[in-house]
Amino acid sequence: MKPADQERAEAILHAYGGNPDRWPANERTAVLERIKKSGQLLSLQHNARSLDNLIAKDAGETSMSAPETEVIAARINNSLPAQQDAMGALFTFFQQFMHRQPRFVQAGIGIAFLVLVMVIILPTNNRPTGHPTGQAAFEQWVWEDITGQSLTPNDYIAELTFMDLVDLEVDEG
Amino acid sequence: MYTVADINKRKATLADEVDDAELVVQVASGNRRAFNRVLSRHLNAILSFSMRYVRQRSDAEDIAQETFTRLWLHAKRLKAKPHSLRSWLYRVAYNLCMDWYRKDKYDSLDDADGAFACEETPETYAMNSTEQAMIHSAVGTLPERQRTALWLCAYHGLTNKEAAEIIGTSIHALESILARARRTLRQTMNEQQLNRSSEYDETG
Repeated sequence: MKPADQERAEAILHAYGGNPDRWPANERTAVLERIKKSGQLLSLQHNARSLDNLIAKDAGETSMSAPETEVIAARINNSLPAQQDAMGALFTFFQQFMHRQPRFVQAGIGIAFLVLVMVIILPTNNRPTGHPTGQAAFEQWVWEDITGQSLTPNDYIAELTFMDLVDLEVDEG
Repeated sequence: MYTVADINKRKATLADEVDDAELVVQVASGNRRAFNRVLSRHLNAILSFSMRYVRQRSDAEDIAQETFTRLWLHAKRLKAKPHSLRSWLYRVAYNLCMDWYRKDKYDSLDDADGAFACEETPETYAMNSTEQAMIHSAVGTLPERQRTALWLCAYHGLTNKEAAEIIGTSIHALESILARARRTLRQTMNEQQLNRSSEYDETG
């Protein structure tokens, strides 16, 4: 592999220190090659290693013992909420999105949603569908309740014979 | 002929070979054993990282718990992204630590730099004479980004790509942040050693 240039090797030593394990993997061999050829870089690496050794003294300070970590892992496990389905995740995302927006954007989205409901969703409930509307269902129920028959007024009249109609006229007369 | 111990050893080796990406897929499907494996791999590192910011063990535990709960809840989204699990966990923990500071403790992180340095009490005075306390104090006085970059790369062994992702910068910028941090540390350590030797001369 072609050795790294002097400038790049210095930059790596200044940033990542003297331990080659800490250097970017794709540049490691090239930098080592360059250091072999330069006494100045070798001295720089030596100085960087002395700082690395000092840093290493502070690095292990906060680590916990295995039993302590296990107790915390058990606590995390015991308090896990149920995983969300796709709709739940979408709802959470929407909530978080709204939370991040300024008040006027929140109000705008709210108004747009109301307009959407009024313009698109509500009118579809009034479109003729072939099924009885609320009013017709109520009339059917009143008819059945009074007459005890399941036929609608129109069906009933359609079933009357000519003579029945004559009788009705006579009775009314 | 294999013994039970051999089989168990082989099982453990195979379990270790399951990579993080595979574990995320399993966690996304609600597999608690996979989640436990993620915990055993990464919990200690996340706790240790969080403790460097908050200094209170209970707060660090809360941050770690929130980090892994978010993994449990959002694993489905995470499996679709090419980020490594490790850098994702560190990034979530880092953001939670920042929130912890901004909301509850200090107006600005850089105002809180002193909080990371060792306090000079009679009990800690003796400890402060050690190199470990000196370097701890020196790292504590670094600006927030320099300190985080150093913790991620030098203390936790993350790659430059992972560390750059976590603190939200480019690799080139990360390298200059790290170089500045190391230069400041070297200066601070030299000054502290000079001060201590002059104190020693005066008292001795």
